[in-house]
Amino acid sequence: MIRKLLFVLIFLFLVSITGCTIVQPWERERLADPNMIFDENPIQKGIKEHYINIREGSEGGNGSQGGGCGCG
Amino acid sequence: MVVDKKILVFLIFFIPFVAYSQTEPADEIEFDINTYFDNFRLNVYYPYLNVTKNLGNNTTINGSYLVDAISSASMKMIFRVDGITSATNNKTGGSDNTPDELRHQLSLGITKIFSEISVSANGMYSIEHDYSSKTFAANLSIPFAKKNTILQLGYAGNWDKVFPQVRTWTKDRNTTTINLGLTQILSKNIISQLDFSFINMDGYMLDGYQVIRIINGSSFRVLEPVEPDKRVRKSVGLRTNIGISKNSSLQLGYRYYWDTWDIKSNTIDVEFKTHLSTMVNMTLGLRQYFQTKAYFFKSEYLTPEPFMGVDSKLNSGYTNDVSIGFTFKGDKSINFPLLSSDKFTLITNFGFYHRHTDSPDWIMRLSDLYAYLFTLGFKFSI
Repeated sequence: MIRKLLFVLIFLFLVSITGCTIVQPWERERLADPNMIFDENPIQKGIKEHYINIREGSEGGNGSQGGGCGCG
Repeated sequence: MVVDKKILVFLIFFIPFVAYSQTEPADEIEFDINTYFDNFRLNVYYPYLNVTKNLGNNTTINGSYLVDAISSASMKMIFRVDGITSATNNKTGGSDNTPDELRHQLSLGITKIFSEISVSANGMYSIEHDYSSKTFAANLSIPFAKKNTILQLGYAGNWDKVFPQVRTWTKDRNTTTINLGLTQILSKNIISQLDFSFINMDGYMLDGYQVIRIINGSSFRVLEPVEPDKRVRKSVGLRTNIGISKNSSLQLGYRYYWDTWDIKSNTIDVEFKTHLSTMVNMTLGLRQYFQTKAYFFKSEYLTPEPFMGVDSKLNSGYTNDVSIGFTFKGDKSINFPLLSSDKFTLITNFGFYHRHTDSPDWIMRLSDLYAYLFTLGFKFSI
């Protein structure tokens, strides 16, 4: 059931990509805020993943640093 | 299919030269002191130093050094091993105030931007008295559609050696990780990321210290756990960051994980970030995790079986994790040492972690683990 839900979410994500409009670099003021960056501090993320991986049976799928305005 | 072969050839030849983001990292030094305390009487201190330097010509290098100092009361028990981390008693550990186990980790990396494509490679070496690990990782980041879409490819190879103090042998464990990520700007204030991970593990999966007690009437036998020597792990994660106001954002994430040991898990996380002022930023995090058990895990074994495991990581259960963090950015208007420099950022974080397993832990005989985590650090632009 949950797996099906996940595939529905992925499907919706992919559909949303194909349907979304291009956001121009000068329209990305909000996206350029550090708060909008995934894993703004990768060091802290790495430390958190380290202690979680020792205590839980799962690993991976946590994404990578990215986001922001991407206009650099 | 021809298309599939092309994709495969692309992955094989280009993944080892990988990357992260399109913008070059700033020159800076970060130093953190991280601490961990739990009700299993385990204390961990890990200072971390990271230096990033831009060499010009779109090239950045970074180096980091981490020390993991573990001390645990459970080491003084008969097994002389910590039930959570499998940290063991070092020569000077145990009842005195010196750490029971020290791990040193050194890593070096380089990032180069070719046109708009970012490529990075990192090497890491970690050593402790009964374990060593070598890692090579590479990332590639390719923007499309005026940088509205970014494709990220990642590869990591781990070559580990396990040589427990109480054994005479050395065994290998090799891990290959492949990540595929897609980051997409959906609107002026919404950005999403889809991530797929594939992890292949081969070799000795244990640490050489755990034991299984098989009780039969008035007698009992102590055996070593036996786990399969191969494990394939897959996970898919989706997260979205929404700018809910000028100063605040809300990140929602979900991850599904499954592997060949029959462990399946669901993770939900929420993160709220806000600028309390031009200098102070706050992050609130909430994470919930649910897991099924490995097919061979049992809370107790009555007879020896082909595969037997006691590690709590293989047990079914759930975890709750909450955290709050603040960063203080320095400003010339502040009349306080260090914070008067606009190149300085102070980092603080407090976390609470609760793990419940459906049967008690193999050594401490507890079903609930409560842990407290503190971080204090700084970043300094150079």
